[in-house]
This record gives sequence, structure tokens and C-alpha cells, in this order.
Amino acid sequence: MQNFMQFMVKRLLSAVIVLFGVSIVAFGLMRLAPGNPAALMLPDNATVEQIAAVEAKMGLNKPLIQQYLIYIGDVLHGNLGTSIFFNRSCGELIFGRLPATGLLTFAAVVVSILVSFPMGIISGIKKGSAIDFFSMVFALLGMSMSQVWLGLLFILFFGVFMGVLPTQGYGSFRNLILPALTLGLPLAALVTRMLRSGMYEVLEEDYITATKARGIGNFKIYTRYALKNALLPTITIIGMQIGQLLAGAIIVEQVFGWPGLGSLTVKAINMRDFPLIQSILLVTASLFVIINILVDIIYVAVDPRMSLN
Amino acid sequence: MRKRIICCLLAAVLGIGTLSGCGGGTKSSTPGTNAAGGTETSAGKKEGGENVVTFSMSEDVYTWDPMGQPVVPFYSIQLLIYDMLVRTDHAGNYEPGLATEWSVSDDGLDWTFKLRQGVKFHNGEDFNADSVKATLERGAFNNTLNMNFLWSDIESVEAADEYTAVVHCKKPIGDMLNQLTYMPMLPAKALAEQGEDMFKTSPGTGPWKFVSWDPGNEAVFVRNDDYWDWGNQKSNVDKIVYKPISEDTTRVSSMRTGEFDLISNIPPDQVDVLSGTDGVTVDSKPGTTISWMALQSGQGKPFADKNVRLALTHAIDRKLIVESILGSGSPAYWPVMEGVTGYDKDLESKYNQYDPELAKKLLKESSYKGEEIYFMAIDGKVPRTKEVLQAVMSMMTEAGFNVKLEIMEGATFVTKRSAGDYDIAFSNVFYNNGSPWRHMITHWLSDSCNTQLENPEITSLLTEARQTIDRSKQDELLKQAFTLMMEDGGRMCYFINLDTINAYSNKLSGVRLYNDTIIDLSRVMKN
Repeated sequence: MQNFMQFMVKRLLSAVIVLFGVSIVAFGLMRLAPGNPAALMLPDNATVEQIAAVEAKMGLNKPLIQQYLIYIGDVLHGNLGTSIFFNRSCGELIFGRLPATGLLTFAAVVVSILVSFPMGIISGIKKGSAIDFFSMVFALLGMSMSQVWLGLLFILFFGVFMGVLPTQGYGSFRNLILPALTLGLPLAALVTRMLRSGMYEVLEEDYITATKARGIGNFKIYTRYALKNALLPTITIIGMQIGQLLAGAIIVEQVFGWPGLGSLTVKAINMRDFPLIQSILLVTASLFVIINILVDIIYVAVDPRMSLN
Repeated sequence: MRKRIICCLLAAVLGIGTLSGCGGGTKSSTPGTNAAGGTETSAGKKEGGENVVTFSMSEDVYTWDPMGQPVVPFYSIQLLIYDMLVRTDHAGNYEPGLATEWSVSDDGLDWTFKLRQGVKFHNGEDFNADSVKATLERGAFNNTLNMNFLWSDIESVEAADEYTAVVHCKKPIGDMLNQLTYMPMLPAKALAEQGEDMFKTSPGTGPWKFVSWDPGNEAVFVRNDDYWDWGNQKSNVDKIVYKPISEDTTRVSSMRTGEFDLISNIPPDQVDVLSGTDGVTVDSKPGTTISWMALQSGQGKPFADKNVRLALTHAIDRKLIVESILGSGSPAYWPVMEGVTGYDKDLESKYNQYDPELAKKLLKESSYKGEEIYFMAIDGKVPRTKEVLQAVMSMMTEAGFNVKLEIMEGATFVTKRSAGDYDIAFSNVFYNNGSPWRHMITHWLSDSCNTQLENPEITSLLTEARQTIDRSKQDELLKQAFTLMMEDGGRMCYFINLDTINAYSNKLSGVRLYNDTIIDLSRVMKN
């Protein structure tokens, strides 16, 4: 327990440093990019005075350092600022949409596990078999197909031709299926490959041969001895890929009209909505950090050799 | 080898099996019979017995301030929630809206509007001269609002009595009536008390009430049973839902499956697919969106030379691009198209025609010595932006230009455009209600593209036209100004007029689809 507390303190401290860095980068990057939100809000013939007036209204006329300090001060008080274009608080916008992205990401992880575990394990055991070949074709396709294309194919096939699933929308389980498949399949492909090679390598180990010699059944060997070891790198990969999933969600959400953070991010960037972009980045970075901590904890639970230190 | 092929087939079959297996649990339900409890809105279905119309365009609404950030869908949405003083048939004719009659003084400076009595806002406030004063003065005096430039010539608005408003102008506003057709009347008291927060509830006087907006997901409106102007045409629809879907293919697919009742902004290459769908009508007509190229003509720049500008316009085979790449739209040889003030068929055919030999000759006689022409464009302003502009580029190369093309997103474009940091800047503009003034004010009366090309004669003609209330006189002045622009080859090279393509379900009636991309659903009926 003491170990655990130490671990948490250490990780939380480093998380704070990471998030501090993210806040600086998020603040700086958007301001380095060309584009001025005040000019975008006004018509093409806006005068310099008009642009200055709008900038003043947005607080963009202050020195950069001061703007940053105001922003950080607000964040520490739990205020993520007000979106320039939506004219609503960033917190309300982000946390209003986070559940949708969270649900989609979670569903994608579930999809990828459901698809990849059976395929990866079996093809690792039966290397060279038809199932193995099929899994590898699947993995190749899954990793190389663009998600936009995959999403559109799903829409056409399941939505338009078969007519069994809605092509867009949000709110019911049926709406979730296609976006989750689209987002989850590339990860499933990756995990299938990881698991397959992991299983294969472990099964070659001496201790497996020894276990066999002791007369332990195949099923037990696969599940208890081999899978447990093959699982370790897989968990790391899934944890690390969650960041990738959040990025993929931006595309998938656009395709399916899914009202998550992704489509909000695209709009915020197009409109140079500085406060909103900063806050989105800060919130997603925090999520990513939290997920990584969780992955570390799961890791220890799976492999007692690892310690939290 | 054979084993491999069998394996491949097996893989394919299993793949499809797996995928459909994941959705298998819900296979029994077909779209239109929603599982209970879902909030999925799909057309053809009555949610809890409600008659719902769902429509979709590509963009979301950002701020709900009608004067704030005008995005295309909002021109249609504001017709649901609000009323304007004046209504239009989008062909240049005006009818009474919240104003029952109006008159203008001889000098064009004072407009008197008699207002409709007994009209209430959705929040219970009465509509009266104070609403007109608050709405118009906000537009005229608050220069941080996007549409302020349309109204800044207003001096003051006087509430002469409860139902008479007099608008006093500093200069005559020739386009006054048209501008009023997209100026929603706002409740004075709520505006004073809540400021911009009022747009979180958006109370208007219109036939539909704003209920909710979930950014990126949907906006919901319900029928206003107390609407003053239902007459015997009261809609049988209970609820209208607006859903923004930015991916064109998804929007079209959702129309095909019946999830949407109406969609706009359909890419020309999807028209055939949609026309072949049962129960869907595709409505395609020449639109009022025109794409343009601003020419940077500052000192030392290639386009400072008139011959280079003319060479460009004659080098482009607009007709070929329309026919072979776009499959819709029409070539633009004149700043405005049919139906917009200042259009002239005979004049149009005199300028900018494709003539590669003339282009080569003009370029040879010019001061252009093969300098690189930096051609920048906003992505998505014409369908197939990349193919279209590559065609333009190769036509230009043919004539002797040396072109570098860059397609970018809007924010970067706007920065470079205002700085004049380009040779050619490609974008588009749309004319609403047959009025050219939005474009003329923003790009010709003000050199907002920083082209540094000034023709005082054009400016004075346009200024005079802008202050001319008489439409036929205005038309005449505009034609003169446009002729000068074309002779000069300058500031803007007009390129292509885009079609307006919408599709709607045959269950709908009473929908008015105008060619200026505005859709009036206020009197929609659904069977």
C-alpha cells in the first residue's frame, strides 16, 4: 500500500509537469500558426480598428505572456475560458462532448479486443494454418486501410445496401456500432499481430516444453502460461494506442456526424478559437496521462514481477 | 497456390461474417423502426407520435447571433425562428413581413415602417417599434459584429409611436429593403437585459421556436402554435431538427436511407445516385454562388500589368472545366449571374471568353517575364477543388504563365489575402436575394484582398449605385461599373457560377428552395 502511494505521488507530480508543458505548447502553437480569430469573425472588408476592437473584446490585444498567465490562472481556478465562436464556456462544450468521444473510444477498444484476442491467440498457436493466414490478411488490411474510406464503406454496405444500421447520429446503441467498428478495427489489426507473435514466441520457450512434459493440458498451457506472458506487451500497446484512438476519433466522428471532441477540435482549429483549442488539448492530454497511469497499474496486476517503483 | 486462393476467399467471407456478426443483434430492426428509448432521429418515423422533419447541411451554426458569424445554414434557420420587417421571393420582389407598409423620403435618408400589431416574441415580449430600434441600432453601432458594415450608414432609429419606426440614415442605403429581408427582429427588453446570452434561447417571433442546440449534433425547433401568420397553412410538423454533417458522402447516404428529409450542398457527382433513390427528389438549379480569383496588382507584381490580367482571363477555358470536371454550374464571364442586379446577357458574352491565342499574344506583349505566379486557394470552395485548379494551372501554363498552386484552409488564406501575400487568391461568394451588394461592398468598395488596384471611376460608380434606391437606375449604374471592371481585367477574375443542389423527401411539401442556397422550411408539411 505504501508502495502504491509513493507510486501515485510520483506519477501525479510528473503528470503536473507534463500538463504544464502541454499548456505552453498548446498556447504557443496556435499563435504561431497563421490566422487571426478576430479577422475570421469579421467580414472581409473589416477595418484595422474593427479588428482591434474585436481583439480587445477577446482579450487578444494583451502581451502574450500576460494572456498565458491569465489563461493558466483561470485554469487553476477551474475555468477553461470562453469559446470565441460558440460564445459558450469551453468547459461546457468540452465536457458536454467528452462522453460521446469517451464512449466511442471505449467501444473501439472493446471491438478491438473482441476481434483481436481470438484471432491473435489462435493464429499464434496454429501458425501457418488457414486461420493464421486469414488473421494476417485481416491485420494487413486493417492497418493499411484509411479510416475515412472504411467508414464510408460501412455506411454504404450496412446503411444503404443492407439497411440494417443508421448511417449517422448519436444516442442509441445502433448508432454506435459503425463508428466503433471503424475506429476499432485498425487497433484490432495491430493487437492481433502483437498477440500472434507474442503467443508464438512464448510457446517456443523451454518452460512451456517443460510444462508439456509434466502432462498439463493444452488449454491450460495456452491460457495460464502462454497468454499471461504474451499479454504484457499487448496491454502496453493498447494503452499507448488510446492516444492514437483519440486522434482517429477526429476523423471517424466527422464521417459519422458523431458529436464528440473530434468534430469540436476540427471546428476550433478552423476558426482559430484559441481558448477552445488550448482547453481541448489540455483536457485530452490529462486524459491520456490518467490512462497511462491506469495502464501501469494494470500492468502490475498482471505481472507481479513488476513493482510500482 | 490453390490453397492460398481458398484461404483468401475464406478470409473475405469470414471478414464480412465477423463484421455483420457484430451488428447481428440488431439486425431484426430496420431503419424507421427505432428501438425504444433511443434518441436517434430518423425521418419517416414519428418520435412518440410526433411528426418530425430532419434536415442537414454541411456546416454547424456557431454563434446564434444573426449579426455575428453568418454561416450558410443560418440564413435558412433564421427563417424558422425569426421574422423580418420585409420578406422576399428571392427574385428581387418584396412583400410585407413584420412591417405592413413602408415609404422612403425623397432624399432617400428616412425610411418609415408601419409595424404589424399584436405580434409576440416567443418569450412573451411584444413586438413594437422598440424592437426595430434595438435590432437596427445594435447592427449599426456595434462594430464588433460581422454584419455591422451593412448598417453603419444608419444614423439613428426613431420609435415615432408604438407601431411606427423611422430609420434615419447618414447616406441613402440603396439596398435597404433587401438587407432587411435577412435582418431578424429581436426582442428589445431581452436584448438589453441578457446581451449576447440571449442567443442561448434565441426568442424570435417566427413560426418555429428554438428549443435546444447541442453543438455538432443537432438543433431542435418546435412549432409555434401562436404564430401570427399561419392562416390556413399551419404546418402539421411538430418538430424540425437540424443536423450538421460535414462529410458529403455520409449526408447523401443518410438521405438515401431516409434518415434525413432534406439535405443541401450535394456534390455534383452524387446527383445521379440520389436521383435514382425512391422517394427522393433532387432539385438542381443555377445558383448565385460565384467563384473568383483576386489578382494582386501591387507595384512590381505581374498582374500590375493590365495585359497580364487580361491574358489570364482569356487563357481559362471555363466551359471545359464546367463540362468535363464539375458536370454542373456554368462559366462566369460577368461579376453577377442572371437574376442579380447588374446582370446583362449581351455584355456578359463580350468579355472574358476563352481565346488561347489572344492570351498568348497579350502575355507576349506584356511586361511578364516568366516570374512565378503564386496561386493560393481555399479548399472546398468549388467541388473537386484540386482537379479544377490543376486544370486552370495547366491552361495558364499553356498560355505562358509559370504557376505555383497551393490549396489551404480558410484561416491561413484570410491572413495571406489581407496581407496581399499572393498573386492569385481563389475563393467564392454568394449573392442573396438577387443583390450584389455583399460582394461589392466587401471586395470592391473596400480593397479587402489588398490587390492595390484602384480604379476611381469604378469606385465612384459603385458608390453612387449603393446610394441609389431606384432599382432600375441602380441596375444601370452597376452595369457601367461592371463593364469598366471587365475592360480593366482587374482586381477580380470571375470563374464559375455554381449550381445549387438540394434533395428532399417526397413526403415533404411546402418547402421553398431558392437558388441562392437559402431554404425556407417555415411552412413545411409532412405526410
